[in-house]
Amino acid sequence: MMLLDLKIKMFGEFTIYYKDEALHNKLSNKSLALLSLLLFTDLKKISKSKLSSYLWSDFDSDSSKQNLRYNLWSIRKIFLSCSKELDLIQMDKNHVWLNPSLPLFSDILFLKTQKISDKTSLEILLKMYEILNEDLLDGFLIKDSLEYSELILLERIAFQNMHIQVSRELIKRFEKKQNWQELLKILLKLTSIDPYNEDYVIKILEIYHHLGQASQGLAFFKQFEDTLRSHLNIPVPPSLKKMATELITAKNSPSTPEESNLQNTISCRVIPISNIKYLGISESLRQLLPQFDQKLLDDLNPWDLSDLFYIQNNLSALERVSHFSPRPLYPIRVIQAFHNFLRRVSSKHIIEIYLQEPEKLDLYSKQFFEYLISYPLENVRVISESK
Amino acid sequence: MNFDLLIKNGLCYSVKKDSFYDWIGIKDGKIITLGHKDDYETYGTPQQIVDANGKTVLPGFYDSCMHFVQSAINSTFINLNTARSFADIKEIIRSKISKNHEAPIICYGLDELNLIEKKVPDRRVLDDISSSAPIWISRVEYHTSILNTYGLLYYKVPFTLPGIEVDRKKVPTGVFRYLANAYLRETALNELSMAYRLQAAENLIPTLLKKGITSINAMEGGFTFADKDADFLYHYGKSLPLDLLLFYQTTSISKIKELGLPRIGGSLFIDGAFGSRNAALFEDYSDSPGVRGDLYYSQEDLNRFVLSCYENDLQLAVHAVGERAIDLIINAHRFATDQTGKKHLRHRIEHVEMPTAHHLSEARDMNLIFSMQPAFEYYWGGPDKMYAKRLGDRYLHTNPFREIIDHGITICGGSDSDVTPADPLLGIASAINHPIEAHRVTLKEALQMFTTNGAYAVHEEKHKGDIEEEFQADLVILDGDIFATPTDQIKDVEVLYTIKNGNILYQKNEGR
Repeated sequence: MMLLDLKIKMFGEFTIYYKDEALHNKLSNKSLALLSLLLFTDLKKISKSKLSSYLWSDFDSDSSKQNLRYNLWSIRKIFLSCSKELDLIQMDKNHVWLNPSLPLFSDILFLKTQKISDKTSLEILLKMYEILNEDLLDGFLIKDSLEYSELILLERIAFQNMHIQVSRELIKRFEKKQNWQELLKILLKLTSIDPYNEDYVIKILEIYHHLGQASQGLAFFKQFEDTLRSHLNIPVPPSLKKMATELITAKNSPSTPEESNLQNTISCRVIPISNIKYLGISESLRQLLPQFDQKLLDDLNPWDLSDLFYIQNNLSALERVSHFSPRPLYPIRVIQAFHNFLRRVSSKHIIEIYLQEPEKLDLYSKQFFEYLISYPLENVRVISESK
Repeated sequence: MNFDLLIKNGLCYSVKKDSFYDWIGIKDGKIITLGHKDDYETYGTPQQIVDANGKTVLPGFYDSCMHFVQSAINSTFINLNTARSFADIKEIIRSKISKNHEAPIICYGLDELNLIEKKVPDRRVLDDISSSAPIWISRVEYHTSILNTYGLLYYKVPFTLPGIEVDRKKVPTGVFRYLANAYLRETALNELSMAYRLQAAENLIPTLLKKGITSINAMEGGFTFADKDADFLYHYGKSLPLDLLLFYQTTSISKIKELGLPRIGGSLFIDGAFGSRNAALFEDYSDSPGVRGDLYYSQEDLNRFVLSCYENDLQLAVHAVGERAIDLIINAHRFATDQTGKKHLRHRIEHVEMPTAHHLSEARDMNLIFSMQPAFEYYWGGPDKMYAKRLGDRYLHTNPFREIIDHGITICGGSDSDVTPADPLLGIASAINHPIEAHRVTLKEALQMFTTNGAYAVHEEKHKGDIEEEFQADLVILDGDIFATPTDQIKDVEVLYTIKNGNILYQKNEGR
């Protein structure tokens, strides 16, 4: 068997893969929970009675033992059916444990073997960070198993603390290297976990200042101000407001020439209501069109306008559009046309596109906005308002 | 011409003209003509006739301040306001859920001061009720939440947030306050789907039609609510049979402009309420020396925000109850009026329960509208109720409708549902029977609050809110003659028919 052919992932969705074969679909929730308990113990032995109490505390002693026996048998059987070498579970009369010689990779075991210090390599920290960005056993809930829920609760607390520790260490490293882009990513992620933390806001504003992106800084600060008002009905503390104003308007702020010519911010909020093709892009167009002087589109390739017209009738108000004869529509052209549209309009305006529940967007729009988040256009800000 | 609907033999009251007609002819959703006796016979045979039998016919009612989506959603939640112990909480919740209940169990209205334990329950107490479904309880004023253990995992609130109560072992007790509570509310309310909201709204509407309501100013989103409520109404409001006008409770002018709305706010809290002693007063609360309530804005912040509304030609509505809060918003309007010279936007102050003479003259000068809830006086006004406990002799000055109207200020009436029930006739009766005689209004003035003034307060007075030719055929037929009903019995008058755009949407005893 190849090293690490067996992969058990417990952060995010609970999955188990042997090579490319998904095994988690073959296991009951209770069997998965049993497996998670064996992983929580760092491969150490755990008593059968303890395992039973986690998952079958409401059952009488005999039924509880029977359930445990059956689930252990079931796990072994399913793994062995994949490969004879996959003898995952070992036990004696009173204890159960995972076979330590099994070459498996599990995110939780990886995390539990790491120590965070200034000597931890950047590569390890980033790997930890990537794992910890998801919740432990996200969406995996076992009914009527209070002890198990309690354990998950404690583990989640421990890993959330680890997430903060790792983030802080990374912040230190990136600050030292003045790697503002990476630093910004980590801080923005932290604000999604703790949206009211003023320290993060201050640091983010400082980074936008360093990057010369005063308009993005302003938009971020405005969003923070709105969040405080909307969630807590409190104003931004005057000291923070003063600092934000100073940073944003600082004369030595190395703002880009493009930014200095910018007019007002225009924005749209996309709320997916169905899976109709291009709906997200079409809705963005519809909302943005009335907010800027459409002479801006004069330089846009006429075929781009024509392709966008296919998905948004409001473009027909543009004189140039109405003359085009129809031609077959290909997704790649719509995507490129919308990208060119944004590039053109963002030369004069900051564009904010708010995506409410982006996971529910139609496929083309979703992929486009994901691309735009990964490869942002200057002065275009895509803000995901995921649940 | 044949009418689609003829209402005959009615006491059809045209509010603005203060005059009566005997019949109303309706076609294509509009009032086509009005007349006396049986001169409708000169028209063709109507498709449908309703004989009002000498009873009062009024314009369909406006509820000018209602948290429509929250009222709808809350009607699907479990109300714990009758709980007097942890045992009661368990019993009430168990009585409302099935044995294998799996969906989130959401409860509200808990007041631990009413419990014998004098504290909120922790997750262990709630775990006794269910360990297979999340339970989320909101305290009565929504500032504290409690989750069971399953709920802690289900809602995934980061445990690093301030406001999460922990036990000696640093493990969360399930009680969430301040920042953690805000985060939880946002998460949990956003988790409710648009379909859930739609179903809840559809379930609520028959109750509103039964009370004669045809138009609602829906105050949605923002603090203690959820922006998804406002987004729901923006997208689905037109599919519902009532006119639901969205007041988006946000201070984000860019968001409002994006949505193309002509108004902003609603219950944007400048202060709180008398009940929770956070309405902002000039003097101490009578039952809490040293406490004068809270202001949630500085004058400078409010001035800046109000000025932006004027500059963007947005109608603004804010919540201000105590005289100190009213002072703040009046000052902000004065600042913005002086800067822009604009007085035509019909800005509103919601509740405005303790205005001073200075506030009244300022409001009149700037054409501000007061959006008030007369039923507050029915529930809490007078010498023996909550206002007198909180305010002492100042209860004599709350909701002075008479003086406000005499100053020439328009009052539109609402319920603030679900703070009080959405019931315009209760509102009308409460305004007429204000516990302080000097503040009482006439029946005509009370009717104006819930009809013509309601329309005026949202720029709809040219086609809605009255019985006039070419007006939208939104009508209510009462089960009696309200003009001959003793004032103390008006709140008990029932609605016989509610007609929206010429369609009978509610008919008493007909199960519509």
